[in-house]
Amino acid sequence: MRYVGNRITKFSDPPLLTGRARYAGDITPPGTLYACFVRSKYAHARIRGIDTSRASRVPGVRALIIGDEFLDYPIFQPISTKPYKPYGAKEATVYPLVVGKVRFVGEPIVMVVAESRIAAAEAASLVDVDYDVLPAVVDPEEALKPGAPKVYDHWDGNLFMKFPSEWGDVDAAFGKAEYTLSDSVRIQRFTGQALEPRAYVADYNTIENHLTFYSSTQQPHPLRTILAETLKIPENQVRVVQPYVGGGFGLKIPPFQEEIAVAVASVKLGRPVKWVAERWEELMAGGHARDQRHYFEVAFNSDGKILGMKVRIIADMGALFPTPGWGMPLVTTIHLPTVYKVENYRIELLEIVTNKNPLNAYRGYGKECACFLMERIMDMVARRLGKDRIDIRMKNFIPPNDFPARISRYTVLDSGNYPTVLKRAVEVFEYEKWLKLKEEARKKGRYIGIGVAYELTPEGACIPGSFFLQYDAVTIKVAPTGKVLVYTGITSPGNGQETAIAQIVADNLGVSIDDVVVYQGDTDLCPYGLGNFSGRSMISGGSAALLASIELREKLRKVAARILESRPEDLEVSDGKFYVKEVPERQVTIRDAAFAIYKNPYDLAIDVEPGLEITKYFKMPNALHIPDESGYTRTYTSFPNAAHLCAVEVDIETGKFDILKYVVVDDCGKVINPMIVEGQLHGGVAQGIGGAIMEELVYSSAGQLLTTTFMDYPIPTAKEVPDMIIEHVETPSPYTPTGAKGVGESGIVGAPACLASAVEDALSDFGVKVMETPLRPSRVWRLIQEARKK
Amino acid sequence: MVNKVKVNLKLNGERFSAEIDPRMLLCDFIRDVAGLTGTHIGCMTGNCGACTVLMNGRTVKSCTILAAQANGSDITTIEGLSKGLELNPIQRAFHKRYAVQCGYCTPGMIITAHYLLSLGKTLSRQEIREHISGNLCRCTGYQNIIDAIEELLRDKGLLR
Repeated sequence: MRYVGNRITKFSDPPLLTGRARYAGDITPPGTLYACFVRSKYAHARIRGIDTSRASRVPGVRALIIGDEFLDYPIFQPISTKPYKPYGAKEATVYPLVVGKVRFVGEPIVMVVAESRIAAAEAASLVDVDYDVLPAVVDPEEALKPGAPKVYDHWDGNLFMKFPSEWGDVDAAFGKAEYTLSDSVRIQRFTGQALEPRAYVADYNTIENHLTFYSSTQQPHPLRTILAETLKIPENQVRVVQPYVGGGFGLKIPPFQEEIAVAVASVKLGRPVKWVAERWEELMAGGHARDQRHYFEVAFNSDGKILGMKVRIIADMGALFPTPGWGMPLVTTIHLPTVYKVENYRIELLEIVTNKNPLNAYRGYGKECACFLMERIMDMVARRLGKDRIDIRMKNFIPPNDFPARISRYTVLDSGNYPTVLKRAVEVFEYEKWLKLKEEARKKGRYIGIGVAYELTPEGACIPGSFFLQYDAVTIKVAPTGKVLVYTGITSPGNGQETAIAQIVADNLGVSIDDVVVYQGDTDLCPYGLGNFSGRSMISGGSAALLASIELREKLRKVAARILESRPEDLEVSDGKFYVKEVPERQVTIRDAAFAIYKNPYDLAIDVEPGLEITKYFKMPNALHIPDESGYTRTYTSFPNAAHLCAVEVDIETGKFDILKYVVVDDCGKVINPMIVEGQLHGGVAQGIGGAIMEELVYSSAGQLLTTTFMDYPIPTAKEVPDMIIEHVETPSPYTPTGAKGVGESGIVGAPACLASAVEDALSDFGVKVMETPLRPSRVWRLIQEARKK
Repeated sequence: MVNKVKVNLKLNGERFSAEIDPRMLLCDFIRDVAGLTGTHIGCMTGNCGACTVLMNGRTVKSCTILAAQANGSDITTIEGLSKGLELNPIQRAFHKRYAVQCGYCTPGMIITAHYLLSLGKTLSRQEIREHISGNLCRCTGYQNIIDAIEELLRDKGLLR
């Protein structure tokens, strides 16, 4: 093994570093028109009329399109709510523009298309929309009350669905427990905000009825299917190209209303149409995340063992979108009680619609809420019993010999060694030393706290009847000269898995990584795959790359054996050569073997099929969609996990705190490229810190979004993110041929819980309980004041 | 119709002039008129720093000034810091350490790092953090970026 496990620098860097990379917003075909959207000012209103006469007089305006003109284009939904019908799941048709009534501030009402961006923006400002403003429903618990305004007129209320997850005998557990505690935790509404705003360029060729669509998307192939189905263009006449993408984090999973509108406009006008979102549009209409309340009761014994729990989750969905946001609270629900062996529980999830921007997928995707809830419970139990917080976790962990471990009707954890990971984190962090430092600081009136959290990061989502599954494809083509072209169905939003794929291919094909080129994100070049989400690139894509490489290598081996007059099983391969094990100087290059396949099909390559091209699909073997005899299924397929420890110091006068030390010991299975894995963790923790301490999407009581720029929705700068110490423990996945488990969402899951734990610990003298984020100075200060009053 | 204005400036060492809408921002001028798309737009409110360029040797966020205000000035964009895909020492340091993920903030970050190194001042790690805090990165958590700049300063004997 030469490349896997090593710090190979990222292939895609040079164009990025030199400003030569092209993102979707950098693409402008000749004759391009520019789109701008008129967006709703109100959270809930019926549209009485739209007057475009003033706007149409702006020079350069080519089209003013209103929702009724898009009635033929209900957006094809890549994830169906139908399987959730037994739980009451409702449906809603979404059109590219508002039809009838608006359901959140920022929903697109009119699309302006003009010769320049300035003309489009000017015309948009002159469109007059006549609104009949309706009372908005902003709070999910208010939305459930009788008489609350209805977001969808044809529903019987605002409850989207009620989903249960039960295990064991919870009432018996509570009956025999020595202790019970109850409380609630709340995670605010926040979102990802990739630095590149979404950008779409549709280029429709009228003569050929062919659409080329450039998109800052995470799923080129599903997007192609969505466009073909929605626009009714044959799918073989649609090409989706994903150029460089400036971050995705789940929020570029298709389809968006603007994405479809831009494509339809190009078809209608017969010219290229381009739209690039502005930041306020991303904050207002680019998809939100989290916004969950969890009311819980927990039963435990004096030894710290948790016997049972009851949880009621209230999830504020906003309005509904075709994107998979409504799956986020489900992911929380089906993965409780995370890494802990709690054998009796009753969880009820209520997903409720309100007049807010719809939820979309965001890195973490509900796993951070599950983690936050369980970790707060662990700390509460430890405090109630006066026990150490590490010990409580060790006491309740699923033991290493329990795997595979079924934790819910929907979930079986693949493998794990939680005590080893936490023990290593305790060592790296120097836990005992920090306990002393904390005590000494307290004597001097300084408030240092230690945070502990253990994250479970379910990856490899596999949702029945959707485009969110765990299969993917890799095509490898070896040219006569031995150079290797790789085409993947997975895509990179910037994290560099093209490099990890090249590492796997180079090792398993036996070539130099310099001879490997990887293409991604073009539906005319790449095999049908599902792109980027749920840490799947190594799970599904890496596995497919491994299988394809091995198959081509074995074909080359046969020919090499004939050239060397040896037996195939006597050959070794490395550094671009096959050589005879016993006599290494007898060797033939892969290039010569490849040439023989192309040039000598009747002699040297007589016993192999001509050509050196292959497409392999890999499907994760451990998903289960046909329920077993107990009625159980398996939805997620891979379970990375990590221990977080940190130290903070709180200024009790201002409520501000500094992070003094941050340690993550991560287990994402086999590490393909440690540099990429560490970088993913750095970024994940940084986003987790953002959500934990500063980011919040705030709506007024009338449903107006108050946080629409990076000034009032600040994301962490280099001043807020601390240096991190990252270490690995490798418990391979039993189900991927590489042993990799995926790392795309690690770090973000545990960081909020770890910081909450640390702040609570720092303020333990005051008896402060931290049950809510974000931990802005104002909130921490208020917690101190309230605790002092008691 | 809005009357056009003429802008003459030096762009990456070469004279460049164009007649433009006076409402045009410098970032749009660089991208749409000069066709240099390495300068990115992330927020339009001066927060994110993706559009950072050098104007007369100092960093500016090109979304915060009008193109007309740059008349007569000397502008350097990311494209002006290296030839083609060849990497300069700052870019190499970023590449070596995985200080680039999606790359959208990278041109602005490299321009800021270039400016920081051009100051010839001795800096601590904390001061590096403060200096780059006007450039937002959503992918890396900054650690590898700071490591890269630290290494460049150390090589020059400028790390405190």
